[in-house]
Amino acid sequence: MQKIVFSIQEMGGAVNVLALDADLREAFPMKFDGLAANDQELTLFLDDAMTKAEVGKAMRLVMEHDPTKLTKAQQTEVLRAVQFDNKRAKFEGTLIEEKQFEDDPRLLEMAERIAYLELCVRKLIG
Amino acid sequence: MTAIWTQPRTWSVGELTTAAIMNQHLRDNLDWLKTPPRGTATLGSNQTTTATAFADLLNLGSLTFAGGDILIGACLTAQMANAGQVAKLGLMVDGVLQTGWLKYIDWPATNYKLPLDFTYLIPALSAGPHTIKLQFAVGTAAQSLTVYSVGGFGTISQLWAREI
Repeated sequence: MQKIVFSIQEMGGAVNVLALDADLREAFPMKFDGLAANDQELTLFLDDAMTKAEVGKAMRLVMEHDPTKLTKAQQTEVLRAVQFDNKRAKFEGTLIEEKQFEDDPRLLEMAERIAYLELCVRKLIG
Repeated sequence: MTAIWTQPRTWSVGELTTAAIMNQHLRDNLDWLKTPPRGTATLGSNQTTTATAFADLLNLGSLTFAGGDILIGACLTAQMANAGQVAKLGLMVDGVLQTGWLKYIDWPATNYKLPLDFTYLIPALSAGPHTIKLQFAVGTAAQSLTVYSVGGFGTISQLWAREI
């Protein structure tokens, strides 16, 4: 496994780890192991079998990375959050995101009761 | 001044002690017991990995021990996206993954934030400098593991070691 370390500063100060990971996996299936990042450094883990040209392409992808470009999952999550906030603001639809509580029905019941109380309070306030 | 450990002296009957002997065997050894070789590292920022290969997480650097048992501990707050994903922690001493120590954490639920805390004893580590660091990885490709620094969760992710 070969490691290549980048300065986050030189990358423009930010990285969208999941988006960059997805781009590199798509470009180098089976040859890109993953990446690790904090706010200072980003480390690529590349298969030893990658050619110099492939390593160069991977480095270009990192340097040209746009952290504002979201993955499909991130776009879906942003859209879901906006729609949910809009629903809450307008009292439309269910106030509970059942997916958030799917692991524990007791939490879901508690959340439903809190949401119901919230609705009652808002109606009383007018 | 760095405390120095000396094998405690065995006194003989009628022995006349000196200031130098008392300082070495009582003062210096008590100093050492109070402040033994030790190190602490805390995360300065959140760390995320998507790699199955180990990446450095917390590094104590090089610590010089007198030789003996070393107690190591960590408190971490970590998150993975989905239930069933696997987080891995590896303790490296002198660049070698400690056999039998590798931790696999099977994530219990979506987006849970879990405390990953441990203490571990390295028995009879030799005298001299040693490097100690904690590494992390994911179980399979396309997973991500984030370890949080001081943040909104009222926690701190820290690794420490202390000769005992």
